[in-house]
Amino acid sequence: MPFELLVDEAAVLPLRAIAFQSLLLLVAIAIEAGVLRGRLKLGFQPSIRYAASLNLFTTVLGWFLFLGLEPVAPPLLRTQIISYILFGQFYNNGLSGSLGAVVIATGLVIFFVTFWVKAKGLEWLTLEIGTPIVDYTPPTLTRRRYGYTRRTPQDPPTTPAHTLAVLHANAWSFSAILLLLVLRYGLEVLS
Amino acid sequence: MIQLLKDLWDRITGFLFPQQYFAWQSVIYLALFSWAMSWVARFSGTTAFTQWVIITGSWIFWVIGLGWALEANQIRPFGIPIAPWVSGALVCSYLFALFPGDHLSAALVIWPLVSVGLVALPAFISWDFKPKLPFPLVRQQLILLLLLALLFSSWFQFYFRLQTWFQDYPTLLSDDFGRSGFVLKIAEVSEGRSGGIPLLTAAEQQVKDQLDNTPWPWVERWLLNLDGQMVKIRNETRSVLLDSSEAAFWELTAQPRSLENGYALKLMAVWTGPASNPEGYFLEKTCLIRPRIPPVRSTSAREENIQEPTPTAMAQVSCELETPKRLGQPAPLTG
Repeated sequence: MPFELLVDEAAVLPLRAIAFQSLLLLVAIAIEAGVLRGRLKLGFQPSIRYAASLNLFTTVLGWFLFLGLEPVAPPLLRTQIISYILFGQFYNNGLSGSLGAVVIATGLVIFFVTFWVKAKGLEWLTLEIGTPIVDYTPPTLTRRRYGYTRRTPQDPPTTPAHTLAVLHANAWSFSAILLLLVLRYGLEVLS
Repeated sequence: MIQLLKDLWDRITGFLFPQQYFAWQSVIYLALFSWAMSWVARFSGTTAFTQWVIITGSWIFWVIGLGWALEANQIRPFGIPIAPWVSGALVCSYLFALFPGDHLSAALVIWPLVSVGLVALPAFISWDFKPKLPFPLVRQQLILLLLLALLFSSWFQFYFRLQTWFQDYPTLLSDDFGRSGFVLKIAEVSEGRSGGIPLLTAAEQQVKDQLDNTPWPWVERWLLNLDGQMVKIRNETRSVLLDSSEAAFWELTAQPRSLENGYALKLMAVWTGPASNPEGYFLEKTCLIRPRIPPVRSTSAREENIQEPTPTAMAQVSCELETPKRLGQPAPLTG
């Protein structure tokens, strides 16, 4: 039966999605590992492992959201998603006017959500494998009372180093992915 | 020569009969033995439960034995240790063979997760079945492996989601996915899946029912009020796509064109859903409507009938079988 399925029904396979996703993941992991290594003074292997874990986690999260939300999306939006996935473009329906703004807004939301997930994920992952990147000793409350003026130089900066590093890593990898997507689109328009 | 044969023999016996009992061969033999025993049980007419116990034992030995054999012999195509994947596939096919019905999608979706579970099991449970916590590095690798398995599982799910779309909107399959960034068509699908073809056939039947063998003036009046008639035909043909989600995407229109002898009626099913061509496309079917003078009975009677009014012409409708696909939208009616 699987063979029959392969011939008849399975004539359309998501092979391009798999290829593009693998490529983009490799690029993102390489870039983020470089940024994490440079900013957090981690070793080669740990930074690659962290970057791979974080990016795979956000990718899987994205897949779950897509697979879970697609069937319950309103029909107008659902057919636009189908159109984009199968034909690489939106078609004319009641939504097509506002889709550009929706895509840009979705991209921004995805950027900040992945940033937050990656920052939290890095904390959890390093805690889980026994080398926590943030120490969870509660800050002493007395110091806060005096505000910035009495702050001693040893005080931790307001933004932890790992959060900044993840923000930079995320920004770089998103830029690279965006560049690759634009290049692909440009190549397609030219050909 | 003798030495060569002896070496070969030693190698074969060494492969089949290992030095110690704690080897993958023993487990494979156990699997074969319980598989044979399950047949014995079947032929000696034991209860279904007994057979189930023996067969389950056979499956378990297969899973362990094959995984062990692949791992022990270092069979790693492209450097990938495939032992857990093979064992996971066996476990999935056993689990989903228990229940009747088609579980291919569920089995494929959980296959990567079962495989990772098989890898993780020895790391979390010691030999005396006590839970243990693996080393940090092992934990990190298991996390990575689990995430990879979830990604593979998502890809399988995405594949099955695509098939759901094609069941909902079969017309999409006949389109071209060349510009897609996600899917690839590996075999050409016949155009016959398009929902527009049964729609046009139903419309053709309606036109024939209403016009075939009717007086010619009636046909002309019918064509003058084509818009009103199309409303009726649309209502009648709606039942063709009633159980399909893509009914909302098909629009039926018609355009008449006068020929020197009769009319050509173009029936068009316009696809308003997602399409590879930004302008969309439509399927068309051309019907020829011609007047036909009923045959006069005899030539001798013809002379006498000259003064009488000519017999009214009857319409004859014939439609082409092909429904060619045209890109763009139907041209607006001129004149």
